[in-house]
Amino acid sequence: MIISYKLLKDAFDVDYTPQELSDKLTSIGIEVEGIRDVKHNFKHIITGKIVSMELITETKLFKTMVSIGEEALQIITAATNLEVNNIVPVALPDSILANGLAIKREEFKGFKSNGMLCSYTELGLDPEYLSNEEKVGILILPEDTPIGLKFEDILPIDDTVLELSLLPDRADAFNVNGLARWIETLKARDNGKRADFSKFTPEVNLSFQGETNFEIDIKNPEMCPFYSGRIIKNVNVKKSSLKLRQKLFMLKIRPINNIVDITNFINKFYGQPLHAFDFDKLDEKLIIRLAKKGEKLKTLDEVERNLTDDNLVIADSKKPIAIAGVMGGKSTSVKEDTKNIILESAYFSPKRIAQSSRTLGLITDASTLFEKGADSNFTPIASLIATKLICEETGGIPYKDNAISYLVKPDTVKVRLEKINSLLGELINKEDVKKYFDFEGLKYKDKGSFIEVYPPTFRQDLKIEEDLVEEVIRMKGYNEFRETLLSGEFRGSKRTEFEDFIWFLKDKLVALGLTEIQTTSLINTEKLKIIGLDEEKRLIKLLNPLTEDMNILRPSLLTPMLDVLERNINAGKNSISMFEIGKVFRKDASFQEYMELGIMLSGDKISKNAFKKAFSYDFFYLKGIVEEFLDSVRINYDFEEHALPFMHPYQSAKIISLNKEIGYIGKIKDEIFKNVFYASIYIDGIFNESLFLCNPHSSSVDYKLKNFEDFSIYPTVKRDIAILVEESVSEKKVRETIRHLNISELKCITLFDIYKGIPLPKGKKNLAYSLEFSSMDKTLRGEEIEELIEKIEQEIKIKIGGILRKK
Amino acid sequence: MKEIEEIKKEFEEKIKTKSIEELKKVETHFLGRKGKVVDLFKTLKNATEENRKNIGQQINDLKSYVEETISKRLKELEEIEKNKLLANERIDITLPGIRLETGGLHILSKVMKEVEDIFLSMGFDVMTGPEIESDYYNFEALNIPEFHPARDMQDTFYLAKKILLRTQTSPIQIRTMEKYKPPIRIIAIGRCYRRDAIDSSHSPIFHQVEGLVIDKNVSFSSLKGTLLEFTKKMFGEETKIRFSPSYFPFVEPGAETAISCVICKGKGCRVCKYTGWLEMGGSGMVHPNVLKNVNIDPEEYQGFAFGWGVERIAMIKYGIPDIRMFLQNDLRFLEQFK
Ligand SMILES: [Zn+2]
Repeated sequence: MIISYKLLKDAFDVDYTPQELSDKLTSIGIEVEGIRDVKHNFKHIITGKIVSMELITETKLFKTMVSIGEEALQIITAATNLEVNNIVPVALPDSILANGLAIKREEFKGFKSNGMLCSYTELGLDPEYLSNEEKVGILILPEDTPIGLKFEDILPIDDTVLELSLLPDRADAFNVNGLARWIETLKARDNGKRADFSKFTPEVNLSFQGETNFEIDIKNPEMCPFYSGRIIKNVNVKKSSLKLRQKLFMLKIRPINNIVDITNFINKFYGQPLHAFDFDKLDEKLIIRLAKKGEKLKTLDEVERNLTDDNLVIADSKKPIAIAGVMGGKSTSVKEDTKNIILESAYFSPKRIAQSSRTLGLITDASTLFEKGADSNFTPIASLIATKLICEETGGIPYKDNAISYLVKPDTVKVRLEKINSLLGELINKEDVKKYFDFEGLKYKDKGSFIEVYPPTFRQDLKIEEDLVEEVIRMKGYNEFRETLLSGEFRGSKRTEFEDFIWFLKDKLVALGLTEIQTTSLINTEKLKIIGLDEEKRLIKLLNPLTEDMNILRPSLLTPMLDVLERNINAGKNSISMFEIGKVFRKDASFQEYMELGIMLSGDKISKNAFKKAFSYDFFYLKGIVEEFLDSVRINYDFEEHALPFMHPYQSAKIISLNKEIGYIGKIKDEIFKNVFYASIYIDGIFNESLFLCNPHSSSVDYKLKNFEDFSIYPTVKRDIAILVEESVSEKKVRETIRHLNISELKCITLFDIYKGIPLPKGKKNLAYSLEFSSMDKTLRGEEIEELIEKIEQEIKIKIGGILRKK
Repeated sequence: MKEIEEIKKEFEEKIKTKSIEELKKVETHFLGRKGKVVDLFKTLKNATEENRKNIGQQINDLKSYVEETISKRLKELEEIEKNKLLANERIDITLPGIRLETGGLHILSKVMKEVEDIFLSMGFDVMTGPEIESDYYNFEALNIPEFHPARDMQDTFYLAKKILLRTQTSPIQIRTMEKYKPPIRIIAIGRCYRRDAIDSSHSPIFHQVEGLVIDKNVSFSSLKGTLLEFTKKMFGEETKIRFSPSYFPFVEPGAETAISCVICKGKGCRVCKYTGWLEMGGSGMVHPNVLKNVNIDPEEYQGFAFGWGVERIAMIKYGIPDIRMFLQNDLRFLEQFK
């Protein structure tokens, strides 16, 4: 909300400077986000009336005579929006306009011009609060504007605007009157007195022509506890008078016509949205009811709205004519030719207005006020103030309103001193609490063990005991409380098992030389199509994406990781080794989220150097990382050749544990991205899923440090062997054949060479292994080792038809 | 004896050689079977009886002198030779070392761990929860019913009717209170989503840390004390804290928390918009409706809650100017925090 400091000062006698006022308001939760000075230079600008005008032949210029009171000036203008009798701002010689132009006596085409007629830009006015008409050409002032009046007497030359950021529960500060009431509270607090709010409820005296004889029928009293309709006859709808126009200017209201301007004025000044219907367009009566599915209404903004039973409407006997508390209908709106009106002032339930406006996606000034909660006691008063203004402006004849009320008094709220003390952690005495309530002008009774508070209707924020505790904090000051440490028993300084596990994994991956990244979880479907992961029925789409770039939840870390790779390559990086542990999302029976690990390598572990020792990432380097990683969580695993749509068909594998797929590994297809190796591991797959949230049971994976295990004090003996086998025999098969002998002395088998080709027979390969033997209880002798190797030789021959050669 | 003097003189000239090979020749020349020193002994028989002993002694002295000098010289020359060989192996120690790609945690992980460790040291447990949430946990149980204006403050991504991406970590409050009886002292940390337009300080994906303490004597004062302690541990002992009124439907009373600007030390700078204070997030006393929703009697227990942005903490602590950098993962950014 933007509010004029001058308006507050003039209307409510505010003594604080703008800065003081801002600080004080902010301290009680009415945040002033900005203070802005607005300065105009209206020196030598006065009002004038056009008495004659004629087109200068063969030009586009007009010669006008402008009366400024005693005298009339000849002024040449190019404006085309003027008529005789218009009252306009005249910049006299020596004035300086907002755009810096200095006005002098000048001659155009041989005609003298003694000044200039001004548009809003030349006056430096904000177009946001001007009518469309006022923005075309020269600014035309209201008909009743006196001639020869200094322009600075119409609009203030300097003012300060306060930009307020209001909290949703501060409905009582969303209007000038309400804000001024809070300033009264600040004054009362400064003076240690009780606030007096009587001046915020003006007395209005009106004499009525008669009763409003028009039926009003409230079908849903819980949604509309108060409705008043008032007939005003013989209204003259036109542009607002100068006096009203000045008010609109101060309140930043864009003018429409005098009646609409008045309802807008009441809304901004008193916080009561009003609506005026063209009485002659109504059929029989006003009904306040829920809309029926299928009903339609063209609203003031020319949009045809489809209504449902979410919407409370005002209807006549035939059709809806307004969406209650949100926006009026076009067909019954007040126009230039309207003769008689019916003025609505009502109180609607905040919940219903919120529901109605939100389901329509139509949020208006009125709905914003109603959903925060209007002041139901003020509703009839607002109607009176508006009626008085309307009659003054339009010459209308007022009738007494037809008001139906189902209002009940707001509930009283009890507050106990113990509750205050226990919530605040500080002892506050009862007299101080009463003093704070006095500052806020609250009515209360001291009932001994508690204080009973009678919240006024404008205080929608006082419903429960805790709300009153907040008032104590606000009035005492948020920073006037001490800080204490927590005491008492607590469970414990623990992460969840799952979180502990994740941190363990991250540390492990960093130790393996990988850089952690964290990528977006909202991605684009197109990206997935490229890699063939766009399995439509498993993707989770956002119903309301911010942009099409982020329209689904990632089903895999692969695409966002590729984006990171691309970004860094474009930035000039050659090598990346990175991982991410994050959620991926898939639609199975329901929306599911899984924790996944992605590891991506590209480029060199050791980049080319002067020593000819470069090393590039490849499938087996990645496999080594994955093996190290899986070893660290001590699970059994195996790799099975397996083609994936985005992987090289002969350089990719599934990772299996206990017959369950726990991940995959491989080289990304060149056409997707060149030279990238990627592995994915399903973290939930290796961690008990039931542990997912707040579950204290122990995990199925055992990654924590184990007890010490003894090792041999006797020397280790190394022997190299070579095994010649058919090329089709996998290396794993050879190793496992040896392993299956369960030779306890054989501690380690290391493959160190693979050879195919001459002089080996065709279809054969030679695998060279280094074997390490040791015993827990003696030094192994040469012949003992020979015996073991012979055992291996026999096994290789029998099981896989291989030939073992000793070295 | 004249010959002795002459031989000695000759030897002293020849011993100057720089070659081991030459030195061997010198050795033969003087000490060989036909060498000059050996020859001298032959002259002894021509000497007179009384001189013989004296001359013999002189020749013996010369012999030892020559032997010692040669052996010493040989050592010297060998040392020089060895050094020559080593000098051939000289390397340019100014050449750059061989560098490996090395690993590191993401700055968000580091900051989250730092935050977690501080709260762990204060007796808090660390909790997590799902990113896909129901309307109930994200809003309704937190005293934000459907159509409540407070929902505007958190524009929400929906996946289906009443299923959404959590806009805050507060649903974990509810999940925790459903599972455990008070006393409760937890933080919940994780990724959240809001349908906010992207700029240097807003991202539709961000991380939040939320605190919840429920006990019999938890108060607004202990909320202030807890956040002050965290602030001092996170941003430095001299950092101050300021509370101001605010509104969140799940707390009452509610407060906004600011810390004294760690960049300008409260003097005013661009980051704190010349106020000297940095807004960190909301807090307050848990609303009785929230407690009732999880069957905790608000007459028996009360509590406080707070929620701060992890990116905001990181940006302030490490002077990071743009929130978008966190998920862009430019290595030039990440490597600064390895
Ligand atoms: Zn600063």
